[in-house]
Amino acid sequence: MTVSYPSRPVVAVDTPEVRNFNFEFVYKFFTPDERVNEEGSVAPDILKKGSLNFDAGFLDKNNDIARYVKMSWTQVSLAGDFSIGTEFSANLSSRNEFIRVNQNKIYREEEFSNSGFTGMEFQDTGLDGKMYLLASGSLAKRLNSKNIQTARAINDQLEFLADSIDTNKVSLLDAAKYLAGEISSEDLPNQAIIDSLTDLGLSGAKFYDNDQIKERIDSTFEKLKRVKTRIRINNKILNTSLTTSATDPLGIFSDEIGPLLVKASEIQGEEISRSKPESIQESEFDIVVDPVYQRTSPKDTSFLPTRKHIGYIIDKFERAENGTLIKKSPIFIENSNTTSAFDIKIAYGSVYVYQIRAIYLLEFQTFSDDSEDMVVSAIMVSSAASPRLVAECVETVPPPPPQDVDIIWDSIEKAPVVMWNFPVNRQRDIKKFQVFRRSNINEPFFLHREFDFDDSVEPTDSLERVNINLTTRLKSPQNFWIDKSFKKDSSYIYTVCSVDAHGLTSNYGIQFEVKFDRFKNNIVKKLISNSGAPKPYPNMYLNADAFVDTIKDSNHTRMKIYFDPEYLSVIREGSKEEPFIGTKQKNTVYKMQFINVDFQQSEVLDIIINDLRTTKTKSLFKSSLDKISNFKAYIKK
Amino acid sequence: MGFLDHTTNNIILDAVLTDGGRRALSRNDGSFSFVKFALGDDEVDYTTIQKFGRVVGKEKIEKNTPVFEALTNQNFGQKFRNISVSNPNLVRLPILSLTGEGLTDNIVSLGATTTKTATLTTTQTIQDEDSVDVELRDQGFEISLNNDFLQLQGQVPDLIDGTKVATYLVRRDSIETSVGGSRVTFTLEVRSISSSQFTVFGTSSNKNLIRTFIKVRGVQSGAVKEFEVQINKNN
Repeated sequence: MTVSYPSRPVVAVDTPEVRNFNFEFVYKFFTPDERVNEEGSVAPDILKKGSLNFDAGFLDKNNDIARYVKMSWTQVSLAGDFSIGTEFSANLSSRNEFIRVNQNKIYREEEFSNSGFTGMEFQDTGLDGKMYLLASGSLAKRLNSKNIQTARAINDQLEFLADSIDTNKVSLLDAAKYLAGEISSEDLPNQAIIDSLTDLGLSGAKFYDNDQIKERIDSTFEKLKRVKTRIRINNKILNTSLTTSATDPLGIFSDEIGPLLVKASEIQGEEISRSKPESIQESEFDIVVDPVYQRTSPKDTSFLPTRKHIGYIIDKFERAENGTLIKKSPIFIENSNTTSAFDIKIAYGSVYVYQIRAIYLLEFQTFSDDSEDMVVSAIMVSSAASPRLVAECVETVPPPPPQDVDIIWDSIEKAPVVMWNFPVNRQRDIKKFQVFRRSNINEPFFLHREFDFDDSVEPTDSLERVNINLTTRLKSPQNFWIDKSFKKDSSYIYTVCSVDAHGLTSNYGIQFEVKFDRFKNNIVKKLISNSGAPKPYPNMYLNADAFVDTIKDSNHTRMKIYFDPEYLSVIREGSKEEPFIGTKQKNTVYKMQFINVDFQQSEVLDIIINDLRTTKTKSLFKSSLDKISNFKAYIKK
Repeated sequence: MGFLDHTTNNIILDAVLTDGGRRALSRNDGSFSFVKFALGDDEVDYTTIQKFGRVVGKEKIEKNTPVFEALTNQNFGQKFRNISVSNPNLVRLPILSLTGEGLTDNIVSLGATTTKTATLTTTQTIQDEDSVDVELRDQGFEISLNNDFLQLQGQVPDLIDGTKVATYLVRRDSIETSVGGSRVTFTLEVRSISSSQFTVFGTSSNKNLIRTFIKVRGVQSGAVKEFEVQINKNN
């Protein structure tokens, strides 16, 4: 019969964690050293302010701070916790920066343990990707299985048709008719064609965009990567437990546990070597703490252990390019009522990882090492850290196109000068201007000159590859360009774009066509397009009709008008029918003007569409084209 | 165009076409369209703030300043247009300074016979700042002068209005100042002025002297430099 010794007691502290920890990167304006300056472009007097002095609206309204990360969370609540005294003797309001000063005496909840145990915490920030792979893999398997079944069914049908043709020994034409007959049989009713034309959903078809599916799955698994797992393991079985988990092929933390195995093996070996199960040692039950302060304990039994929430610590790490985390100075919040904080010490383009811990002050009775008297000791304990948030400090707002584009004639250079202004851009990060030119609206724009006045200490690689011969490097912006290749018989369309310090480009600015008027000895400008046309579509806002509104015809005296719309109804997803066709019921009249160009006489005819559908037939109409007779068009002279 | 913000007044927006706008409209070729607008504060007397301070002065301006009616003459439509600047922390604006030939106490002396030209330079400067904001560095300058007496050598005016004021749009020099300010160099030239013109336009005390004024305005900064030109019949 085997005998087991009593297990060691486990000492643990459970303090409420911070919930709903979120962040937002705010980019206010450009500074040349934004990629290398982690101090934030802030006036020194603001930097001196403690966290307490930052209220929620301070930085939002402040225009001196170039960029910051704004973090928010829900205030922790102590209600409903274990029943200890709530009165707190220490008055901390007079102690400035209490947490910061005593930061080395803060015990983490997960490491608050007696000897013989090891606390660990796991968070897999790549868990969403793993789950996606697992889920998409099984999805693909299901789809493949479904596709095989469908292919088999189609093959069976084809074989059946081929046998039918062979059996009947008909000509190709007869075979075609036979097939037509087969297809229009009850196996494939006409209604199916109509359904397919109106709503494929009725035929059971569904369409998914691959990208959308990935996005949906990503968002589904997003919360998974915030899951943290905390364990406390007896050192005697530490390595054995972790090895089992690491070698599990489906273990979600196997890659996180792997690097810990060597250390775990050492701990387990040491623990077993000094283990004396036949005797009980003092260290197995005593906990030695380093208090932040001590005071005399009441002589009677009136003292109850007490706790108080006194603030927060936000741990900050910078993620290096190789993925390792570099620890940064934590942010101390010396106020338990605060629910937001700002980190202004960030460099643009860097990736920071944040996690927040609530800080509690616990008072309980202990024995003093010096006098062996009972005293009240206070220790600080931090809650388990919130899930880590990864803040990528990049902005994605493209600059507006240049404003006030104008073209003047330079009488000395005898060439047109394209001039423009900076657009109003609060980010103040425009660092390049591009001048484009084309001969007419049927041609694309060609870049003629790029003015690069980027004064960034570490410039961002451009998203566009520009011929180096077309780029002019400048110390200061230049807002004009002289087109010396312009001849007096030339006609060109000019426009300008702006590019910001992060490689984002604006749409085209206003487009002007320029010709030279020899009689006036000046240029003639014509507006071609307002600003805002995307770079791939320079004619999107063309200042002209896309289609000719007239039909030319000769030698006819009669005309038939057919009501033959491409679509009879347009239904927005999940809502009612869109007002698509103008009908009599909507007081809509289509007009057609006949102009006799010989006699300069004209006549206007009104064409009115009368919708004879009832509410019932309207619903049927969605899936049936044969109700077209319910529309009646008549001409009113 | 005028804008009234009085709750008691029914007129909210009063807009008319200027002569230039009517001319564009009369072409009837589809080219007439609004592409931008400008705001101006010609009515506002900012010395009110100097007199009464920001709080009271601002209130006095808001409540007591009459709003101009819309004017069809583009020359008087907006004399002082507002500018848009991205930097909310901007506290100082650049100004223009003038240097050049024949300049004394902001007066340029020219003659109708021998000293008919003078080369002048207008430079952007700024006080108590290290540099001019990039959005306020003028890339072009509008130079307005009386077309009867003066012209810019080698330049074609962009516009000559009904009051015979010629406006030239001139791009800046390639040289930049140490604070990033731009400059423009131009040569004033006296046109042929007849004796009868001297008789009509000469000063009351000296009919051999015509006084005329030139305005240089930075396109981006909106800064204005006005100076006097005296044309002497005998020089």
